[in-house]
Order: sequence, then C-alpha cells, then structure tokens
Amino acid sequence: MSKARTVQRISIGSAEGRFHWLLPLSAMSLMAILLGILVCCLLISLMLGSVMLTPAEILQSILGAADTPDRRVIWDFRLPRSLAAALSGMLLALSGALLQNLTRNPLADPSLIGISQGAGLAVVLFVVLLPGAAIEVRPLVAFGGAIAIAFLIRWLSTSDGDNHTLKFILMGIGIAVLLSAITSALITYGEIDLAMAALAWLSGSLHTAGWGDVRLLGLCLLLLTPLIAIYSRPLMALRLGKHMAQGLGVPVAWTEHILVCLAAICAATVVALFGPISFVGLVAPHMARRITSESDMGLHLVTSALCGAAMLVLSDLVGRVLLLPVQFPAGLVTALIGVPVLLLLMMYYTQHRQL
Amino acid sequence: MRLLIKVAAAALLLATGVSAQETRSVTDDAGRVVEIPVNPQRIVSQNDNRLTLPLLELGAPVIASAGRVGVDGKPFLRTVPDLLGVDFHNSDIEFIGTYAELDFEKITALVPDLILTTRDEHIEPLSRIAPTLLVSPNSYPVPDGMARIADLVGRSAENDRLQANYQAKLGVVGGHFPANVVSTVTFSFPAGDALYVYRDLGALTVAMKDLGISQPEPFASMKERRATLSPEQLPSIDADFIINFYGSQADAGPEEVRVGLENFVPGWCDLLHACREDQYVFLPYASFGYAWSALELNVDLLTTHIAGRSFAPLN
Repeated sequence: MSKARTVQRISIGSAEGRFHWLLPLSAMSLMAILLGILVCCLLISLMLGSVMLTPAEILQSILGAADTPDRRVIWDFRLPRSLAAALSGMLLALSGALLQNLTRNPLADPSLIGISQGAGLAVVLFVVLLPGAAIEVRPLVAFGGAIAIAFLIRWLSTSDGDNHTLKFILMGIGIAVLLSAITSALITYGEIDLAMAALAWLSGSLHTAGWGDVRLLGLCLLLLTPLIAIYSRPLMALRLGKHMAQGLGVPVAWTEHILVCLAAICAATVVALFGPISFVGLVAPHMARRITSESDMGLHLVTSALCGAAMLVLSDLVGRVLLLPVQFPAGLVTALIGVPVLLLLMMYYTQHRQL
Repeated sequence: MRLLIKVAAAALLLATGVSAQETRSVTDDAGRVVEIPVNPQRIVSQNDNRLTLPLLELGAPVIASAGRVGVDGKPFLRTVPDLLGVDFHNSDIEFIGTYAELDFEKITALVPDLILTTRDEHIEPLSRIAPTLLVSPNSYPVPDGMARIADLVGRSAENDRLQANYQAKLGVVGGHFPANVVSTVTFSFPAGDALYVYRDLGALTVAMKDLGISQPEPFASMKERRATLSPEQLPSIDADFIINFYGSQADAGPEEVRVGLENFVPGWCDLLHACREDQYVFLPYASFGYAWSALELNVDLLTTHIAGRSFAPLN
C-alpha cells in the first residue's frame, strides 16, 4: 500500500532542493475539485447583484474595451470585491488552522490572540480621539493594534519562562474581553457621528474593496505562503506534543513564536482592511478536517485556505444580494452562519470526547 | 450645409452626454479639490435627512438616495416626506441602500454625474463612479450648510429665496417670545434604554437660538454635540421647557416615548419641574431635519408650544 502510494505521488518542485513538494494524486485531485468549487463560487458572485449578468456578459465586460456601466460594475466593484473576499477568506482560514494546530484547541481562531479586539480598539481610539485624521491611515492603525495585542498576549503567557497552551488561551480570552469592554465604552460615550463611523467598520464589510486591497492581500499571501509551508512540518511535530517535538529536533519556543506571528499577520491584514470578520478562521479548518486528514499538514492548510475562500465569497455574496439594494456586512453573515456551525461542532466534539 | 453642421454638432454633444458638461473645481469638506459639473443633472445622495432633504428643497435633480428600511421591509426617507412630501414610493428617486452600506453597483448603473456623501470611507469607492464630494452638514449651522450645498450643486439663487422667506417669518413671530426662556433638547427611544442631551440638533437648535431660547449649562457649552445620560442624571436636564421627539411610525409616538422614559426612570415626570408643569414638549422628528422648511417648522412649533402659552419658569 505504501509503495503504491509513493508511485502515485507527483513532484511539483525540484527533487534536488531541500524541500520536496510531493503530493499524492488524490490530494491533487482534491485540490482541483476545491479550486473548481471556488471558481464556481466566484462566477456566481460575479453574476449576481443589482445588475444581473450572464457569464458571456461578464467575459465581454472584462475583455471588452468599451466603457459601459456593466464593465464598470464588474471591473470597478464586483471582481475586486469577490477576489478580495477569496483572498481574505484564505488568510483568515490559514490563521485559524495555524492556531488550532498550534494550541491543539479545535475552537481556536484569530480572536483568540486578540487580533480582532486589538484592531477594533485601535480603530475606535483613532476615530474617536483623532476625528480629523486621514482615513488612509486607518488600516495601518488597525494592523498595528492587532499585532501589538497579539504580541502582548504571547508575551504575557510566556513571560515567566513557562509556555503552557492553556495559559495562552486563557490570557487571550481575558485580554480580548477587556479590550472589547473598552471599545464598547468608547462607542457608547463618544461623539455620535464618530461612534457610528467606528461601528460601521466594526461590522466587518468588504463593500468598499478595490484593486488596491486585492494587490495587498495577494502580496501578503504570496509572501506568507512559503513561510507557512516551511513551518508546516514543525507544526505537525508540535501536534504530537512539545516533548515529542523537542525529541524530533524542533526548537519549540522559537517555532511557536514564528507560528503565532504568521497567524497574527494573516488575520491582522484582513482585519486592517475590512474590519473584524469572525468565524471563518474557526470554521474553515473544521470543514477541511472533514475532507482531509491532518496527518498531511500542508494539504490540511491548503484545504483550509480554499474552504475559507469559498466560505467568505459566499457569505459576502449572500450579504450583497439577499435584500437588494440593502447590503449586509460579510462579518454579520459569517457570524450568522458561524454560530450554528460552532454549536454543531461543540456537540460533535462533546460526543466524540475531543474537547 | 450650415444646418448639417449644427445637427452633427448637436448629435455629437448628445452622444458624448455627461462628459460634455461644463465643469469647475471645488474644495470639499475633506479638503479635496474635485472637478464637478457646473449644473449637475444626475445627483446621488448618501444621506437622506442631511443631504437628500436639502438637495430636494433646493430643487436639485436627485436621482437616487440612501434611506432607511422600516419594520415592514419597505425603504423610506427620514424626515423628507414629513417636510417635503417626497418619498421613494411617490417619486422617481431610486433607493441605493442604507447610508452606511451603499449598493455601489446600483449607483454605477444609474450613471450619476455628481455624488454627495457624509462619510469619508465612501469617497474612494464612490469616486470610481463619478465626481464625489464629502459634505459634513453637522459641521455647519443649517443656514451655512444650506448655502454650502446650494453652491456645490449650482442652486444658490434658490437658497437665497428660501433664506429670505425664513428671515421674513422670524421677523413676524420673533417679537412674541418671552425673554430668558431656557429649554433642554433631549432624545429618547420608546424602548427607554437611553437618554441623550443635544447641544446641536439640526434645524431645531438653530431656530431656538434665532428666537432667543437658550439651553441650560453645562449642556449649552459642552464640546460634543451630544451627551449620554444615566438614569440618576435625569434631574440635570430640568429647565423651563424640555423638548423630546416622536416619530411618524405607530410604535414611536409621544405616548410610547413617555412609556420608554418611565422604563428608564420610574416616576420620571415627578422629578422634573418642566414635566410637572406640563412644559415637557414632544416635537416630530422632522424638526431636527436639515432644511429651511425644518427651520420654518420649528418657528411654528416653538411659537405654538412656548410663545403661545403662559408657563411657570424653573427659577
């Protein structure tokens, strides 16, 4: 069986390099299917909206030179928004998958390390205290807040030289609750117009997404993917436990720091651009787990990313077309979908004693 | 031959449509210099009671506006039907979503030639569609804001006419008001979950000032437009008169707002001189609209409720 499996592997990298990017044929087929599903989701997303378009009209709008309203709808709004949703979903899912495997907690997601809450507090402080400041700075402020809180939680949970996963999780939950309370107080007692602007950002919406956002998300994914691929092997070892990982030669503390950094940057980039979008990081890795085994960490991460992309594209589509022209933020739709999924997961894990 | 050239030129102008419009440069409230049509013909507004209302009152050609969605799921324009009788169902104005989440695709399909928004995060996406101006009406008293909006859409002459009407009305009723009247401007919901005090609330506070009605300290000099009060702070709003608001919906009438206040502080009316003396006044939401008609409405309402009666001063 093992021999047959080896024969079916396809090399997609240099056999002489340090990393052998070998994938079983079944994995390649699975990825092709998931990619096909994602492309279908994107196509549906491009077809539906205030202006309904057929695939032929979409193609004509993208390839044609005439400046028609259809072309502007597709080119200026629908295409960048759908691509931004797919890329954001990938980054959030990767962040969640890294954290779930690192903490060995199936309920971990980016909010566990304070990403959403850190970005939320930073943006609300920025909007309420500096109302005249340029809006272009806001993503940087959000990114800074998210990363700062993620590192603070990491530092607090490891400051005594100890490094317990449970302490990391509890510290994350505690800090996140504290930050949410401060954010709520600022919104409640702040100037109404400013509070409304902050609230709109906190709902997590992709409705202003443009090509600039797509480029930034694509660049982030391009830069982080090789690092995530490299650290997927140590992550696999960490899943076996810290002592086992140490025995296998993994520098545990350093690897954990790097993985937390990668997860934080993935999620913080999305949150900085569009506000907190919950549950994609939690649910997508679980969807991937139903499809693939975690014994192949690389495949699990890729599957999680594709599931996250499809999930966010569909969530954004639902929010965009459900009650046209009223637009629901994708963050609201993912929460509406995510909470029932979370409850189902909890029931499933309770039954299977995995919590 | 000359006729043929004229016909060809006219056809060319028609074919080029919007791009043939004469333009000018203006600076919006974000400090951006924007090239806009001198006489815009297809205006889109992002805010109903702060932009659509003044635009329609000035006679500007509004083709689409953001609005609200009622409990029945139908869209409506806040304060606009109350003051001008115009709403989505009885006009050609297209509904383009709520003010925070606009349907950019629908706006694109409408091919506007000018877009006005109050929100800075909308500037970039809306600018992909048409020249977009950020206007912050809440930064200006209503007369200044109306003049600003009128200038941007080329309707200054109409604004001057409306301003003259308001000044004439003020001249007629201004002398009927007693001196040194103090009134608080509050807002609470029928749910009774919050109580706000406003220093600046659209046309109402401007009309109060024009009629010599002052607001009590510390609210008159607070930096923010609005303060949120806790139940134990209720006595601090007391004054000769207290103004609150009711909506046109059945579940937001004056009686429902009173019930809400009872939920907020049981026995609230007994704690306030203004309420005990029947000087607690409910005005319609339209009175804090942003328009000359809202200012005129306030002059009428305040004349009726304050100048047209005897009252017991707080001090």
